[in-house]
Amino acid sequence: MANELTNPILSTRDLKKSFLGVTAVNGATFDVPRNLITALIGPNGAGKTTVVSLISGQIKADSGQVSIDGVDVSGWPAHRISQQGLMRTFQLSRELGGMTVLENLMVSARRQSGENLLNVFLRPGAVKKEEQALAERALEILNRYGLYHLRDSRAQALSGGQKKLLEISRAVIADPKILLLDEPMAGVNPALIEKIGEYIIDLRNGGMSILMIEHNLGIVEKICDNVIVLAEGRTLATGKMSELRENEEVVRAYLGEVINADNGR
Amino acid sequence: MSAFFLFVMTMVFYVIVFWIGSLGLDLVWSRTGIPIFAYYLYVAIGAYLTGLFSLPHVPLQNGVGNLFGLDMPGLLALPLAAVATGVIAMGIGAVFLRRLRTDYLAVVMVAVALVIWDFSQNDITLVSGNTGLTNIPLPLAGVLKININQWTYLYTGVALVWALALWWVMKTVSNSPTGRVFRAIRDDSVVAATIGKNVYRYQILSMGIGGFYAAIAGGFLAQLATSWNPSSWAPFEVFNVFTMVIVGGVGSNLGALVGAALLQVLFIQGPTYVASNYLHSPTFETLAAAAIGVLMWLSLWFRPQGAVPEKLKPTKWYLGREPQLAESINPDLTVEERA
Repeated sequence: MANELTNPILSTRDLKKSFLGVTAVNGATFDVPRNLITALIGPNGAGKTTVVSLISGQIKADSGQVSIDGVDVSGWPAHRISQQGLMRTFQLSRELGGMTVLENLMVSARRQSGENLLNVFLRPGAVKKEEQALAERALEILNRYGLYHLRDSRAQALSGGQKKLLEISRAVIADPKILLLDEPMAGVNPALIEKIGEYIIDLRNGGMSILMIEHNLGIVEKICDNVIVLAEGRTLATGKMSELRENEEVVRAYLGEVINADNGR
Repeated sequence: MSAFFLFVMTMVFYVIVFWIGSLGLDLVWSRTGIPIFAYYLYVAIGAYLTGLFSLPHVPLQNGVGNLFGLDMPGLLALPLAAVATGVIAMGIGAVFLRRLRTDYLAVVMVAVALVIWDFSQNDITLVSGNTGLTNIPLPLAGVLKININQWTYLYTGVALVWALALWWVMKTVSNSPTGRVFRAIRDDSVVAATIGKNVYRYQILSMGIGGFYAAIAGGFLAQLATSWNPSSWAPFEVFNVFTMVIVGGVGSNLGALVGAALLQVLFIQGPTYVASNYLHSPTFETLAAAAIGVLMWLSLWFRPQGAVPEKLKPTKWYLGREPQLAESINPDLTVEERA
């Protein structure tokens, strides 16, 4: 792990954010190692989602730094952070409802020359070729995630589980260096949970780095290589799940009840 | 030629012009999701600038004159005014889209239009207040030595050429990857930013294109009327254009034509003709205008997708052929997930 931690794909330093006097994040500092699946866990209200939104630029931090692959992106707008190689999904799926499933993927791809109107009118042939190639790529990804048959449906017509898969595929087509998943398995049936777990492992094996918020410690133990525990807006501990179970502070803050609940299963 | 035939041609002219106007609104509002209630302001700016550019230059005397007078042929004044309006629209967008969203943006847009309308009523230096611009020359009429009837037919043809070209441009833009980014912003601007799109820049671009379309419509209106003043463009006229877009079909380029035709024929020009030639009742005209509100309400209630609904492009359209992957339904999903 030493090598991974000296050259993290993502790191935060002393991130702070308050909303109307309520402190949501209070000094989150952690490193996300490369090519691993890292879980971000913590009790409700620990600031996990806020941290993800601070990293991806949806919310501006009051103070602190974020760097992606060694580039300091603190204070950058969301689209520039995204272009730096970061993609995220949302706790409640946010599909682009009025567009088809295929278009949801196509619009998410990087460096499309047709996103500049000059090219649309001056190089229509090149744009068209690019579109065809992109559609092929999008179809392959849809096929991989079991959404191929829904390619021409409006995204708003998808079921909850399908929307989760759509969010993942929409992130994957952009080929991010770091993927932030905000509870990718929440509200999903057990069979699909397994499947999403496999997809995430596949992405890591393909070289992607992943940071995921997850409450189900069974899943965390199974698929995550590394865990960051957040409590009261602060980083409480990092390490492997098995190590954290031995950490008294972590157990007190979060794991205690859950471990008992786990034993009951 | 009979007066009725001239009326029909004039009505066709209005239909064409409002098709252009609806196309622009459709882009900014239905395709980019900006509540652009100041749209008729762009129509007005286009009309004023077209008029000012085609009138002779008159130096200020006691605060009155035409500083923008370029004595240009009307055919050139129109696109020049539209480009200028596009730039102004982008400026307005750059200021107000910076921080405002949704309802707040909508309210501010109404306010901007009202403030400038008020300005146009009181300013005598730039736009001659309530008198407005008069004697805007009919383009080509002098050169070809034709009367007003012949001019109406000719210029309806010119408007049609413009409309078809602008329809093609709008179709190309909305089917392009750029149009896809616009729609992504409309559906969820947070997601659009998350996937790396510069939302602010695309919104401003959309405003600029919309401003251009509005101004072409406005320029044509001013040229047909040979005049333009504050009573030509009460800011709430924008709701007529919104109704055209809604009734025709939100996000549909042909729907914009259907909506423009429906309103102009049945609710605006038609009733005006009937009122002035047969009923001699201004009340009838006013009621017809009021009925537009009812039409919008009924349309939203019973057919929210409009007469010509927005069509999404299927995979085949993007690929240029049928997709070749076999239908593979993920076997690990439950029946419920497949549904």
